[in-house]
Amino acid sequence: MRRDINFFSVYHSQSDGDGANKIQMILLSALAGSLIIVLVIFTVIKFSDLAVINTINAQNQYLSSPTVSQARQTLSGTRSKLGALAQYKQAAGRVSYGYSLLPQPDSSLLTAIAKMEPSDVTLTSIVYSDDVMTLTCTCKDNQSPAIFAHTLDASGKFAGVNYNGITTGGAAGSASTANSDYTFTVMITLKGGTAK
Amino acid sequence: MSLNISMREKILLFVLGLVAICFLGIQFLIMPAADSLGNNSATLMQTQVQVAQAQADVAQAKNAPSSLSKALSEATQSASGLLPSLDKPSLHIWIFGIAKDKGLTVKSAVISDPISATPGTAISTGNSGGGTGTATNAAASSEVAYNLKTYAEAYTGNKGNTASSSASTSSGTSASSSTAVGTSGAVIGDAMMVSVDMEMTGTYAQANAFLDAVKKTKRYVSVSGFSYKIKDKKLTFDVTLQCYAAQKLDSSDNLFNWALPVPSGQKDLM
Repeated sequence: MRRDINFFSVYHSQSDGDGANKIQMILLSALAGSLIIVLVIFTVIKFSDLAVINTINAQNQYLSSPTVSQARQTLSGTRSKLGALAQYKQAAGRVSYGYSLLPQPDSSLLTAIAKMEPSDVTLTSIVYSDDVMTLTCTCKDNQSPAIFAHTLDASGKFAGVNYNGITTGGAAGSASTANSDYTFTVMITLKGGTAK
Repeated sequence: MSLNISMREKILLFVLGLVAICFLGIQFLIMPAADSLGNNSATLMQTQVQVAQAQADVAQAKNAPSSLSKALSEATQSASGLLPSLDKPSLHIWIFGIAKDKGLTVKSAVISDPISATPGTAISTGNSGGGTGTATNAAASSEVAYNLKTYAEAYTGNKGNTASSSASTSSGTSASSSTAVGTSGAVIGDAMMVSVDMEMTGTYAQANAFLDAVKKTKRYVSVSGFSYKIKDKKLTFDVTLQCYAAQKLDSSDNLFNWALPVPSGQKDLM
């Protein structure tokens, strides 16, 4: 009577002693081989891991080296300085732009106005304030103020030209009073300013 | 004692051994090692990124001085029109020098206290109230808060960097847009400004030459008002100058670099 189901009846032959030893050797070898394979795989992985760890250590050493920390410190300082410089430049640009909007009266402007002045007109005062130049004049011909204002306006050099008619008699206290019949005031608004 | 094991049992033991070797080997040797390798590989990738970043930083740091120098040059150039300071004695000597050079005689001059301002705008928060009293000293001007000073100090590192926190939202081309820096969030100007009212006598040509000379300085000195009047057959020339100044980034602007003479002193004050 058999002890259990005979799955491997072919190996139960009593007369097969040498063959059984061979098979036994093969099985043991296979076991040892599998053990070796497992160990080899483990060793390969372990060595790879060690290599990776070594690389990480080397890279960490580089990252914590004075060269890198000094470079980062330099860069940090440089970046904050560059930011401040950019803002400084921007603010200076605003100043420059704002300044460029302001009119810059000079002798060439006064000469240009003089060239448009009728021959009988005499200036008694020039006052410039808030982009507006006020010319107080005397003249002999009552059309001269209109001619003067029109010429100034037509020149296109000014943002606006205005005058409020004429009054009889020269400006009080002016040198030209005796020889002049009329007084008038021309207001010229200069271009390029923030004229209100 | 010899153990008599049948072939079938040997085969079973073999299978068991094989399974045990594979299971235990994988479970306790290969898997932990593979996990460790995976983790370390991930760490390696991260450090490689960090190393690449560090190498880029090192390369950038080598170029930092040149990029900083270029930016400094551009910023200095952009502020070249501004006066280096509104130190009243310096301003006094400079403007009087221009008038004297053109043959004008200065009868009076009133130098206002500095206020914070941007040309073309009406911003002013001068701590001194923007009064137009006669010149006192230069101390008040150093306390006027304005953007260019804040940014210059942020660059030189003399004070806390309030400039970077404001992150400049203004467009840079709009004259009316000033970023608020400073403590109370008040809108302040980009530069500081001093108004100089002068009364001079001379000729019409000399007065014109003065206007031209002011313009030729290429400095942000705006003639905001003037008048030509004849008084006692002499021309009286009144002019109001708005002088814009800012703290410079370096000491290269030597407009006011002169040494005032040391007074010889007197025995008594009166």
